[in-house]
Amino acid sequence: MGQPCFLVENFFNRRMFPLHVGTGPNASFGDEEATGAEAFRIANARRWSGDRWMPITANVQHTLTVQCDRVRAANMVALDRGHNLAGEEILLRCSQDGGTTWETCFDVVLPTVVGAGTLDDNLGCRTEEGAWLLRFPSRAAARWQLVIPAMGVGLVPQVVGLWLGYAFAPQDGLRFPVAPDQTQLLLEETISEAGWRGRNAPGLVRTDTLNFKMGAQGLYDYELGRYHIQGLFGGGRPMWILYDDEQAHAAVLAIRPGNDTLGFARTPDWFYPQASVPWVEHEPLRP
Amino acid sequence: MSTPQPKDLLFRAGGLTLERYGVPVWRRAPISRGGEEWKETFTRADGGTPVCALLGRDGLYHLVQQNALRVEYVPNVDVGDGLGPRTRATLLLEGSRINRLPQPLNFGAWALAGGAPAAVGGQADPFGGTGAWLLTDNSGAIAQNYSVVAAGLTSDGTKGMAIFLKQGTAAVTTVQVFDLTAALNRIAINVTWNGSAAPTLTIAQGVGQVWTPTPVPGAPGWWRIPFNGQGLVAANGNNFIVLPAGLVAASQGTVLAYCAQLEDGVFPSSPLPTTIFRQSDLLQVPIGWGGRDLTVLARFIRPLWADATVNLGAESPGVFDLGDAATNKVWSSSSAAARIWHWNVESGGASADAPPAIPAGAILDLTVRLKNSQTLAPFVELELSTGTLVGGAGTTQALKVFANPRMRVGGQSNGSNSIWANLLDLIVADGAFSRADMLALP
Repeated sequence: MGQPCFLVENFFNRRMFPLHVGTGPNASFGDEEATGAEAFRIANARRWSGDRWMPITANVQHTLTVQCDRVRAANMVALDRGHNLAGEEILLRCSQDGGTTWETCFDVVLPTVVGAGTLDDNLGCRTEEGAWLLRFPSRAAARWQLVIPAMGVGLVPQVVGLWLGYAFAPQDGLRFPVAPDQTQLLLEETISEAGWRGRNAPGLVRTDTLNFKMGAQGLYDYELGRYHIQGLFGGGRPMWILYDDEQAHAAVLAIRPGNDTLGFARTPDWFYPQASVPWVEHEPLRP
Repeated sequence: MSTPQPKDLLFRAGGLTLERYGVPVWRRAPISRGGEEWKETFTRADGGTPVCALLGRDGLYHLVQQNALRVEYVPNVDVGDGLGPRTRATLLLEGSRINRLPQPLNFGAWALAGGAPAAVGGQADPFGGTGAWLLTDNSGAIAQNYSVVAAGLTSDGTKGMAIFLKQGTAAVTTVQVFDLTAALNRIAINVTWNGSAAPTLTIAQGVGQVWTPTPVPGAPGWWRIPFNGQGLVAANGNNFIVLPAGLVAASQGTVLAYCAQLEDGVFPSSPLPTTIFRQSDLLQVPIGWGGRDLTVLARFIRPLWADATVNLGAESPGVFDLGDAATNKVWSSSSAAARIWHWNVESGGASADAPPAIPAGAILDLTVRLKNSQTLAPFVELELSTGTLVGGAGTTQALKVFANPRMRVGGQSNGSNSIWANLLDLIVADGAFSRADMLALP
């Protein structure tokens, strides 16, 4: 049994980090971008394969680069489903000299099949819905770059969503109950007099509540929880949730449900902060 | 006093902060929507210096942008947390000087003497690039050489120098500074190549110092050659010369060279592809202190060197002075044998202990407690020098607490009392806490 892990930070998200800029043409994150497939789309979490970044020139190396406003550490990356990089090589690298020289964080070939894998696997882990996640030894730099070498004749990379940031792994884990695969069937139905059911096309959405209950070091974990969970996720930003970092294939991208209440609280029965954080799957696939 | 809680921490900074919070400086503050409310300011007087270098997580040196807060990963650091030696992120505190050699990376622009063939660029350099140059002496009748005249020295005296060299075919390579006005060598060092072992440095002419060459990680065969020369006259022409095959006219051979430097100061500094010879940068953070007791925990990896006192090559102990006797009282310190040093300073009262020397490889763990009766700014300065620290307006502090609104880590780059330090952890708490409590913080 592993530990839970959450990734909500994204250096490429300019609403989250307004001072971050790209280094491509017109401050784009991409070295190239086709009209209608601009690089800003990698951080808008639309999760639709038509809403993606695509460069123009086929069969050459392409990059996505972000210049941060300060030195930042990152230890996790996620590629959302809809990318065409399975079986392809990608590199993440960082630079402390403005991009003149680079330090490679990892250089991997993305797995092509789903397999039970840990988040820390050398090749990362392909999730059940086709996303790819990897946690790596943290690095710190002001400039970060995802490199996609030439993919072959006629091929250009397609990136629907990209997350790069520092993951939050609460020391005290999560408290029961946990239901990582719990779903909600969303539909409207009418029942006839004979008992026949008429339904519209259903939506199947994973949903659960994260129960944080801080322990001995809880006050300091609360600092992190306040930032990642309460501040960023609570602000409506999508977050990768892994109940068990040894089963990264079951990761889910979630958002905060509307009109709920979220916040760490201290109650009479427990000294340290605790919180119940509901989530719903963000833009699920059709069942 | 109870265990410090997050609400008591005014801010924390350092490598451990980076590994925990993802940013080099973390301060208790409301999270504004969609971003961060505050961040540190960092200044570094790079001037004309192109780049410095540091050790990356991959164990190799990497070049660093100008005026940027730099993160260096130091291997085999045991901070006493039970996890054993590990590679730790640190904030490299290093000042900067201006390299007085024009074209320090472009040997192709250097003057040729004795019919030396043009330098051949595009050679593999110590940083994985191709910026190195092949220098050749192909004459058996004269010591051919490559030279450039230093420009802009600010004063007479000792000047720190360094160059990266890799053995070619020559048995001995010489690097010297020739005073064109006085017509004499201020310093000439012979670099005797020893195969895969470290080259031997000897002073052939002039007066100066040499230190143990530093190998470059990940670049076998490359060595940084640090030395200095005494008695340089700023107004004279000081010609920095590389003789690939040494001073002996009959000798021939080649050497690979990269990044030469000559600076005002005893020891060579930036550009700094090495692990030693560092001055202080200045990291400045507002602390919003309320005027009550203040506790500061600072941990540095490796000693903080004083430019005027340290023996660089041997990394022998430096001296770390904590305040003057009237202002800051040292009330405990560990034995010299300890790897982790705990120093405690309390404002007010006379100094009880004389600050000891810090052994090589030590981690400096410093706790400062300031009482609210101390109202004059700055409260504490930790200065690296042979003299004592005064509670006034110094310019070479390693760590400095102002009453409000800021705290300084590092120092001002004024060319003296330089330090070399990797900041592991710095925590400022609003209240009086014990060292044990501070060290127990996650």
